[in-house]
Amino acid sequence: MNLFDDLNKISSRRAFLARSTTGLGAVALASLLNENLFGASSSPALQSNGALKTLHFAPKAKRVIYMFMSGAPSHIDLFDHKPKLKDLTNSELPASVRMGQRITGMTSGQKQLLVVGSPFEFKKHGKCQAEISELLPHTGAIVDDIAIIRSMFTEPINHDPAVTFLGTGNQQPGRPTMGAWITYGLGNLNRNLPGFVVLLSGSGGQPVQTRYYGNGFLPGDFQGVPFRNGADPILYVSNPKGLSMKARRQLLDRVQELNRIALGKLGDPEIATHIENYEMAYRMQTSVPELMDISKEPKEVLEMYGAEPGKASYANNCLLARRLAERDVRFIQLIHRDWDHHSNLPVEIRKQAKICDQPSAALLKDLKQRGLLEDTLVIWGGEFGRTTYSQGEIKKDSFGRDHHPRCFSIWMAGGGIKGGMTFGKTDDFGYNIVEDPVHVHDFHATMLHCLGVDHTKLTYRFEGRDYRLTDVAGEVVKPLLA
Amino acid sequence: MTISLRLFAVYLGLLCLFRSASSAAARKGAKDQVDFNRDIRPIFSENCYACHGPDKGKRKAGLRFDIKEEALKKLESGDFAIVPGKSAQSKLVKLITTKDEDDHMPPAKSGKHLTSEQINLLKRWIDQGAKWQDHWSYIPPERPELPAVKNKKWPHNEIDHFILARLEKEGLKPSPEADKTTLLRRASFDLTGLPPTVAEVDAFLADKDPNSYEKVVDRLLASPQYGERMAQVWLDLARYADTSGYHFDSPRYMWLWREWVIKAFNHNMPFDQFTIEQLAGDMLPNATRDQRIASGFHRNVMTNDEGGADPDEYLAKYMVDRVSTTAIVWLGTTMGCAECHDHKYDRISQKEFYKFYAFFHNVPEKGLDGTRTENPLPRMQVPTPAQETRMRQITNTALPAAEQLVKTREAEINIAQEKWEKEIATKTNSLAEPAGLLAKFTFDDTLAFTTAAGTNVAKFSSTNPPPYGTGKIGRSFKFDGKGEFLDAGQAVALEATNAFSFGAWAKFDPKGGAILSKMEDGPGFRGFDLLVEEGKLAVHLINTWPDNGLKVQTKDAFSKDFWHHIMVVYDGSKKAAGLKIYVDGKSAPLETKTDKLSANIITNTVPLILGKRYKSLPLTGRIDDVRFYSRALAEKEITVLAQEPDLTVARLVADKRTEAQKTELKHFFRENYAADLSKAEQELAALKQKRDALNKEIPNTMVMEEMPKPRDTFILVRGNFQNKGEKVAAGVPSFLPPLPEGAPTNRLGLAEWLVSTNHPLTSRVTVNRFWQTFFGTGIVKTMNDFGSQGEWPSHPELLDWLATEFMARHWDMKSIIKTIVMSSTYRQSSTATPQGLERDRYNRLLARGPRSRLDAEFIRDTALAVSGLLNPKIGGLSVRPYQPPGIWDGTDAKFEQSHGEDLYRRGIYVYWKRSAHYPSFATFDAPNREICTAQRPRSSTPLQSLVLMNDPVYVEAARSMAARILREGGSDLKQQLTYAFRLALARSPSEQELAILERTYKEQLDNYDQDAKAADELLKVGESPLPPNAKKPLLAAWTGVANVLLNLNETNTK
Repeated sequence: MNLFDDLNKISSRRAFLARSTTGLGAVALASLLNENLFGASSSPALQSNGALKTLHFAPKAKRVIYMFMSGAPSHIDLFDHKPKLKDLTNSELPASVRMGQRITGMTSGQKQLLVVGSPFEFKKHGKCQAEISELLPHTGAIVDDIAIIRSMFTEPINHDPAVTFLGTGNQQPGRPTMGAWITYGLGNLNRNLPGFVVLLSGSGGQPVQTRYYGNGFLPGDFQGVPFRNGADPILYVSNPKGLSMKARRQLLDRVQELNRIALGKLGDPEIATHIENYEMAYRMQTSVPELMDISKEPKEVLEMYGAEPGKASYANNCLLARRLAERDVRFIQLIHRDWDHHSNLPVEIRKQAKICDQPSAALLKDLKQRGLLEDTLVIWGGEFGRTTYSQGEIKKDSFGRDHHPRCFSIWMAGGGIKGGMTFGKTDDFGYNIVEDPVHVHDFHATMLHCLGVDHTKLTYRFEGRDYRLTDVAGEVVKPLLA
Repeated sequence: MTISLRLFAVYLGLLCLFRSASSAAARKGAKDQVDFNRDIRPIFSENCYACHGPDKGKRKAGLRFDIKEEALKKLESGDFAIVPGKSAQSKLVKLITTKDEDDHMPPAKSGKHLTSEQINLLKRWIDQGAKWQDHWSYIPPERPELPAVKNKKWPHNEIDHFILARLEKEGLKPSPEADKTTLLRRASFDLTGLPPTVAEVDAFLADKDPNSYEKVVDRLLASPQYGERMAQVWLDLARYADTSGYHFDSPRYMWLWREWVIKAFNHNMPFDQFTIEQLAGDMLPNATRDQRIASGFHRNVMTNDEGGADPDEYLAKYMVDRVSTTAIVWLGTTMGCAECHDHKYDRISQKEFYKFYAFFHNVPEKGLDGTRTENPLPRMQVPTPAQETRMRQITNTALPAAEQLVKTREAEINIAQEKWEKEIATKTNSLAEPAGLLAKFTFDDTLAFTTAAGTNVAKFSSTNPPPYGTGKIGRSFKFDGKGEFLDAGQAVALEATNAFSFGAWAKFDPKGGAILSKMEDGPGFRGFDLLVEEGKLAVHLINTWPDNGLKVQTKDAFSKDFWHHIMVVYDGSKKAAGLKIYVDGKSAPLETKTDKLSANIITNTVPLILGKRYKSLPLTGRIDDVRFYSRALAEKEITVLAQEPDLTVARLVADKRTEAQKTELKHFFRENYAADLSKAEQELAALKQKRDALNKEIPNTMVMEEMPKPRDTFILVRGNFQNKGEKVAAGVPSFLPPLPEGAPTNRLGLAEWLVSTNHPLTSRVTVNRFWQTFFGTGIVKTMNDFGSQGEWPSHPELLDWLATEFMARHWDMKSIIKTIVMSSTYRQSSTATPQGLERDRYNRLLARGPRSRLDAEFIRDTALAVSGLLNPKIGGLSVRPYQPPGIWDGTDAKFEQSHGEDLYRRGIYVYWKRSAHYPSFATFDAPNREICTAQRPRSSTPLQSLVLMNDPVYVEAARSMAARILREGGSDLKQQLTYAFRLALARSPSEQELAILERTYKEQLDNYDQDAKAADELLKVGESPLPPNAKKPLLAAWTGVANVLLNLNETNTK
């Protein structure tokens, strides 16, 4: 008998076992497991196959696609138009705006904090007339489907703690990330794929640690599984060369025969799980390569995303995100690097915007045209904003922006979110929030709400305390809800 | 000595404890008696403490239920929450039973809810007199009496009395003893992390001695692999890793500390000493090298070096981690909560948290470690004996001798120089000015230069006054590398077909630039130049670059500290061989870079420029005495030019020389007349280099140290490092005993306190961890929470028996572990019946033996061991086995795989990169060791199946196991299959199992007979060599059989 913690163990097993109990029929223990697995739930809409047996309210979204822009894109140059800054460029940031707030060690030694306006034009788009930078023309075309939040804020001022905070609700490593919490709470909907999949792109910029999609103190089942480019999209999903699928099936059949003998003899339900795991592993061996192969997508779809089969790119990842959503993967996390523009921002941000704008918008359009947007929550954004003042000298075509936790912009769309709106307001400097602040905890609470979860009730007992994604805070941002 | 005395004191203390009456036995008697600690405190803690607990900031109505006096006092309203003996009059009972939603406790919005059973318990407890107890784990353990049991035959030792008494009370029976093979396998995995060999199984089966099992246990405890197995648990607790963790996750080197841990377990260091040396080894009197290495325990903390981060913020994080880790490892308590506010459940105030923090706040370390390549300070070098001998030889013998030689030579040479100066003073110039001068620049506060035609003036490119300075002869001109230059017009016209010479005195920065040039801009670059390139000198003569020109460069670089005389001499041959560069009067060895000049080099479209090329290569340095000649100067003439200024200085009366002139003269004399000294100096420099290289080669490890002046510690308000509150001094929490008398209030005192006789937690927490290691779950399941939120022990008296026994045995780890694995409880069969599962699914009552999946490291170790690949080397640097490309892509580091023997070392030595964990370990729940882990989760997932199926580690292990079967398994197929099965599972296969294996073999042989190429491919996995003359299809078929065996649940389960 496995000696580990009951609920977690069972729920984790259940996460992978959902709808795959066929092979277990013969096992005398199945009923024993089932009894504990499936609580009597009131309505099918509220049923969950995760640790939460019953959702707290009817979910609007079943799954999440999170386009995480690592390094922190500048809100001032993309989403939060500050026309007055143009005239103020090269003037000192007023003390009344800075208010003595903390800045990083990279600019705290600067003699002056000189304001620099965005060199980019902003235009109004769509019915909602949202203002978007010229750098994001494709995003401009989807504004009526998204909610732009200009009043996000966070606590840490450096990348590592800020990404950790955005991921887990805590600056220090050790806690589970959003994707882990959600697959733990809601379970997995697909019997052939993990519930929490990660797609990485970009190079340079800030390091991406595995804990940014880690399971923290939750069991390993809930860690994000990176799907990689190339022959082995999931680690070790491919047989070694020289071992055919036919031989693999034969070997597996023999493994299973021997495992079944052991199960009969020892009666350990762990062995039953082991048997099921091997079947799912085998299914993954065919389903994953099929999933990752985008070469059969129609030409116009590839063009819409700017995706190229066989290449590693953010565009390909966006297309893969749609394919994962179609297969009901619960949490799909894209991580794109290199938005950390401390210097030469006008050139660098243009590069990143060019890489990210079209595929991000294409993903939203594609989800919408396939009817998937209704029950998919889509999120785009970084870990904090960037300063209104320049890091380093302001030259004609070049300046930089430092880290700025006090406000930043993200967008949300799809299941549960009201499209065509902008929410929250910052001051004329894009420095402080003046209306409707949204803390990271509030953002998490809202995300969970869309999934039918009361954020205060998705908890896990660890070290004597009931932990949750929103720590001890968080309010659902109701105006964002559809 | 101090330790053994103290141990004796422990022993005496325990003897006293044993004599005192045991209340534990009295406690368990009364069946209907409500037990406050077991029954009531968990209800309070879970449902009430959030508002009526230790956290004064959140406390409501001034009422708290964690302290007796407070809970029983009269409330502001005049009511009493608890009236002992009278539940009906207790406000508490009224409020938990009221129908009024506004008054009801706990309030609906808290999400807490009391069951009717809990309400009844509370009522009964009050009616029984509301007897209060201190929290059980804060009372020092008392030696319980052995409970009576009916089945007198079953218990092997004391442990079994406690287990059996509970089973009998529950109406359960223990399972029979496991068969010998299973038992051997279980003990081998538990005590060494490795499966038994076939020979060990055979020997054990053949040994009919009733003590055969004990002999096996003794053998395993004495094996060096025991230390590795035990260290695996300790490394999780100590958050040992090979990288720093935060952000850049730079490499660090703590393997010497890891080696210390393995050795300490193998030498069976008593746990109190083990504790003291790791927490404060550096502070012990005359601390040994090993004790200082041990103190690295708390240097395993993650460190940061992210640009722009605040060092104070991170320094505070390191302290918080040390507090949390110490509390989990020794106190089984989560203190982390009190970083920002008083603990909500346990009596740890925020102030006490920072008092504990102050113990660790005196290490001379930085908040940002400032190093991305080596161990941050403080660190200690740990040379091998050979390195130590070498280092001693260099520093004690060779260096002093070389230094002495230099000194002696120097003294001799100073005398010689004085003598030489006297001789020189009597001589006058030896040669007249060489003939054929084309132009000469002196820079003696003038830009005028002489030519054959008369005097001319160079133009300075800047409007600033010309930067003259001290020169080699009179004054010189200074170029600052920013591009300013001197334009000398058409002062000279040199052509490739003519002989010529040019040169100057120069003192130049190695970063380079052009001393002089008359060269057009690119493409083409017609003309000539004299350049400094990384301290070397180079000359171009160019018609059209790069096809028609020549370039030579000196092989040596020249010191920036001295003036050098340079003279380029060319014979008009258009060949590199016809060009020489004299430096300081001597022909310098040259390297020919290009030798393709065949046409003219003359140009009049650009001027002669000093200090730059036409549009590039600005010089940083000084020039003096620039000369051009229309012929090739003879070596003698150049020697005079090069020596004359120094000789002139030498002729001066000593005290008329400037400091710079003195230095130059000394240099000149040594260069030209004192070869002995420079040889001695070179030897000294070489020795120093050797010493520095050896220093780099000697490994170092991070250690703890105390600052001479300790840092001040303040309460950080809400945990914010920028918000300092009250200043606090080091101290231990008040709910625990005070520091032992005479113990210093520092880390050493803290360590002694943890292992003092009256400490209620350390021994309990430690034996509980051993229990978890061998039974899968602790007696207290919540390993890191012995506080009020922790789970009630499944066998409280057993826990206290083990805890007191452990101390009575002088914290002897091997001895207490032996007692555990010798117990009948441990030796039971683990076979589960459906009834048994239904009754006690998680086997907390232990009516059967333990069975669980192996930990990540041991799964790999097992595959390596059964395949014969395992490298048994103990200790040393971490290794990097095969991993798929791209795992480290998100980080700034480059993965370099190990080769050879290092591929097959045990998992405990696998490189632990916190930001990109070795993937197959991560898949099997090994923590990334960012923080202290007391309990690994144990998941079972399809991703694990994929690792065992396809990870090259396991594919190679299968191939190697196949070769081993063919090598060692006999010639008969059945024999071979049986051997294979026993390698993996220790036991012999049943007929049915054998048939399945046989089918595997035949199927795979069939596959590979038909497709020899596939066999070829399969056998290529892994870097270990194939056996010579391997029959590939056969070996591939056996690889299939081995793959099946390595993938079985039973293989990877103890």
